[in-house]
Amino acid sequence: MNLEIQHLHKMLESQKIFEGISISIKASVLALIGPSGSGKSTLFRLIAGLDIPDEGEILLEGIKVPRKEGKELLEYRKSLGTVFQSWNLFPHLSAIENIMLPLRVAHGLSADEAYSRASELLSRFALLTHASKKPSQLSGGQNQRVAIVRALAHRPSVLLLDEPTSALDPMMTSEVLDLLFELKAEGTSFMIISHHLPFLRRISDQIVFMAEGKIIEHAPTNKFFTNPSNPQVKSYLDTILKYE
Amino acid sequence: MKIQELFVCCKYNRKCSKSTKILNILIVAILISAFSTLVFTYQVYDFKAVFSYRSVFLKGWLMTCLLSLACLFLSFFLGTLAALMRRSRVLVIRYLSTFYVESIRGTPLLVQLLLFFYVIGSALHLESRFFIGILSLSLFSGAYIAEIVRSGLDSIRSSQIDSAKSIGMTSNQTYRYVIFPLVFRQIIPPLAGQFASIIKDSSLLSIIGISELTYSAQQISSATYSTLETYIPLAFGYLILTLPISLLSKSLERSFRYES
Repeated sequence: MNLEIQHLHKMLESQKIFEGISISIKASVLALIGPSGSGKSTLFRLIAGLDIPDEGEILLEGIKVPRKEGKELLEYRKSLGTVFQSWNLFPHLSAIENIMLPLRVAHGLSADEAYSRASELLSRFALLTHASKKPSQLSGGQNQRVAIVRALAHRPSVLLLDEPTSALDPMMTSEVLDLLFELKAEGTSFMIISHHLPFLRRISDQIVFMAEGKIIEHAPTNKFFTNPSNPQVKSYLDTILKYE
Repeated sequence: MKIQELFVCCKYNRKCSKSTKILNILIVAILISAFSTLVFTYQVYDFKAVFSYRSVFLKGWLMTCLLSLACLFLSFFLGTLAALMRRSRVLVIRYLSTFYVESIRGTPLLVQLLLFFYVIGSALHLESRFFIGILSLSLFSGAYIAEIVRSGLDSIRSSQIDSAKSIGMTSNQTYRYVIFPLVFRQIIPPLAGQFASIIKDSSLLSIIGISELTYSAQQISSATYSTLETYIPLAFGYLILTLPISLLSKSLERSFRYES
């Protein structure tokens, strides 16, 4: 993926979150890390086209993220696959219906096409037995995997994941991480926010570290972990990796 | 076994044995029949005269069913509309809806009926009692349904909206495929309760001379000089309609609970 951010400004509830951040990254798996309140999720929402920046531009794969609600922004969102921390599946729909709904409604597939694509994906990720279950009947890990499948089903150019394992216990976390490794092996490129550093060290090739609404460090994964240049990053890594 | 245990359920799970239940139901039945005997033996009754008017009674009952059904649909439409208007960004629309809901909820149905029939109805040259009756009962019930729908809409978490947005759904699609189905599941139990209220409140339409169940009962009563013989069946005429709804709403409440 190719991400470019130019002079980004964003205020939320009269609080300045970003004051002109800029960055240019090429990565196949990009990890976005930093302490809570650093602006990761705000940046995520801007990149996902869920919020609109006050000033500045975001370019993903060379395409400018539209700056106002409308058809273009809708098309932009459709070109992505977005996964949230608490999966946000629709509670009134079964797993397979959750995957089929966007295919049919937003991407114009017929019911048959949507069904065959959804069941093919579910069986590939060993979820087919759960196809007709509602989210309330599935575990957190299963729900998050279904949510990832939903985000993949329309073959997006990039996948965006906002802390996909933060609401899961360690067993379920592994389920989801395994799936992400599979995706990487298939050549899917994605951006992920996570606090799971050992995992990020293995899966990502570029890391962006944010704190207090600023990009503190941006480096290839290996360099970031072995030789961080910024003292703030050093102390962050020391604290988080203390018990790993 | 202590005597106390015959009359009180378990402190922790609120359960008791079947025989204890039967015993207590019997006691309640005896109490009710004792009271009824007291009332019933007060005067002599003649159900024959009233029974000969059964077709009037049945007609009234059917009219009540018809009125309630019509009001159910119309008030659901009005209530949903008012709830959506209350979320509008256009302030005039929002304030209109607030005025509607608050003024209706703040005044008695009887007063609204009188106003509608004698003031607004005659000003607008609305002739049909039936039409005015349905309209005013629907407006009344619609204000309560507006609040039910509003609380249902408020219960939709923003994460669901984000999810729909991220998928690339338009705002209309989000309403159609996500918000409305979720809201509908939420509000079915209170909506069923409101329907039972419509049935009961329709009795007030007798005041403007619509020949529904209560009006028919009053007619029979004055024709036959009977009281209890007409008013007891009258009460049962409503219970037959409202009890199933109440039971249905309880079971719906249980079946939708797990989804949220």
